[in-house]
Amino acid sequence: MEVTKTVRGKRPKIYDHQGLDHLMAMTTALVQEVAVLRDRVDLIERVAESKNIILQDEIEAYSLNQDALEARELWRTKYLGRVFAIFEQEAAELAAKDTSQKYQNTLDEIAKG
Amino acid sequence: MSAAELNTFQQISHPILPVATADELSRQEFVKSFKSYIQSDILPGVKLSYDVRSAPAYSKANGELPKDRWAVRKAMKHDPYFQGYVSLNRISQELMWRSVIESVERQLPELIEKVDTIEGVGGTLDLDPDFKVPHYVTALDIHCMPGGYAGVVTENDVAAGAVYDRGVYLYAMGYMGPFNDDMGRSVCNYVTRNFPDFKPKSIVDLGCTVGHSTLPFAEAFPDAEVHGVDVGEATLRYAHARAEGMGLKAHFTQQDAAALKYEDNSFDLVVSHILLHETSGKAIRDVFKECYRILKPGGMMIHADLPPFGDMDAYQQFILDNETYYNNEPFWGAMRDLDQVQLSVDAGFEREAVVFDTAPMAIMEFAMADETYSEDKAKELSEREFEAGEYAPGGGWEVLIGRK
Repeated sequence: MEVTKTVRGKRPKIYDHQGLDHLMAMTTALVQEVAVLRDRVDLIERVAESKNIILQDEIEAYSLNQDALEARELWRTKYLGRVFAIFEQEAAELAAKDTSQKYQNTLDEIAKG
Repeated sequence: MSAAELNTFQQISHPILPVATADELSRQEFVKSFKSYIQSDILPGVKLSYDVRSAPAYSKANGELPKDRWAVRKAMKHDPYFQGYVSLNRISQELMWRSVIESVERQLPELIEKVDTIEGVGGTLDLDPDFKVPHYVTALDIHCMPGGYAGVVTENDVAAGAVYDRGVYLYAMGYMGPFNDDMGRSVCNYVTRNFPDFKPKSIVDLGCTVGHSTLPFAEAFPDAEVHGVDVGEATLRYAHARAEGMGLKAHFTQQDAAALKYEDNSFDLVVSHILLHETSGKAIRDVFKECYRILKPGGMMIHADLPPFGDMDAYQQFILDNETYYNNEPFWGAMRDLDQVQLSVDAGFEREAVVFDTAPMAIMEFAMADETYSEDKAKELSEREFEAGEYAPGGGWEVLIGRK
């Protein structure tokens, strides 16, 4: 069973550039998801506390060993790469001297054979 | 911010209310906090941007300050702060519905099954398979609720009702009370306190949706037969299950408030709660006519809705009217320009028998009902001043009263 998720009625274009409307909507949804994650971590701590494990204290007292530091750093590097992949793309285009014109030229070339 | 100012209101469960998982609840609670934040922390800056930047610029270009809400809109439409405010407001509404819809969708089969297992108290449900939902309801999905009031997604559907019950609680940030029934309670209090001799035996709530405002009448007037009318099949099915589950007897029927099937002179009390602004220029006239027609002589009509624009200043009107442009409320602004007393007179009421008044919010009474509704918080809410753009007029609901 699927419940309707889109709204009948034209969504107002608030910003002069509609891309900004998209960006605001996506960013705010992410703000919401961060809050959901934060709540879940809070819940984990509270559930543990109800079982007499004071996670908050344990967490503060926990010392990360070399393996943990490396695993985290690796994760963060990959994570940043995923989030900011658009810059990687742009840098690659700059290196290849790719332009919109070059793309259009390719279309024309391929069309001809 | 002191602890007393933190909004920790929680909806009280009933047998048909959808139950959220931890993540779903977090998503929903986020929206409640976000809406509060927009109102208390972002909205005030809109007035600043108007006073400091946009009104002076408009004045310089036009030789006068904006004189009505349309001129204010023109002055503000491109103001970056205003754009940020309306953008976040709109998005909060979208996130709210989505956070509820995904939760309802997950448990819809169980909710539908549950309807038949609720032990009833004798209320009834009368759906009309040939009913045609009026255009004023289907033209847009009002207040951006996907699928609208009358949307049906499956057989024996209750989704729209479940989505509305939870959604309206979040929209009102809990200010409607733990059962979403503050408006109905406030109107009941208004009747019993101002007209102690008025003992209605038959009551109908027009545009009742999930019956959240209807049930207080069943509680306040236990000897009365209480009816609820709405256009939505799924909302009514849910309303019926909700009432039975809460142990309050009411009779729900699928009808258009602008063209009722009831006989002339059949009710002592006809009420509606935030219905009028969701009708249309034509339908609102017909609703008033129907109210007059179905009322018994001596009977009373009460519509609790938004205050008319009247003498409100142009900026406040503009802020309120944002709902028209950014929240799919096509009749919101236009309705506030109408002379509702004249509409009542046109429908048959004597002019002297029609008045506007304020019904104080019943929220104080919730202080005892649930620990999240502390007395301090309820008091603060019931005593605050009206501020355009915030949810609910400060302290009370605007009521239009007509005696036949």
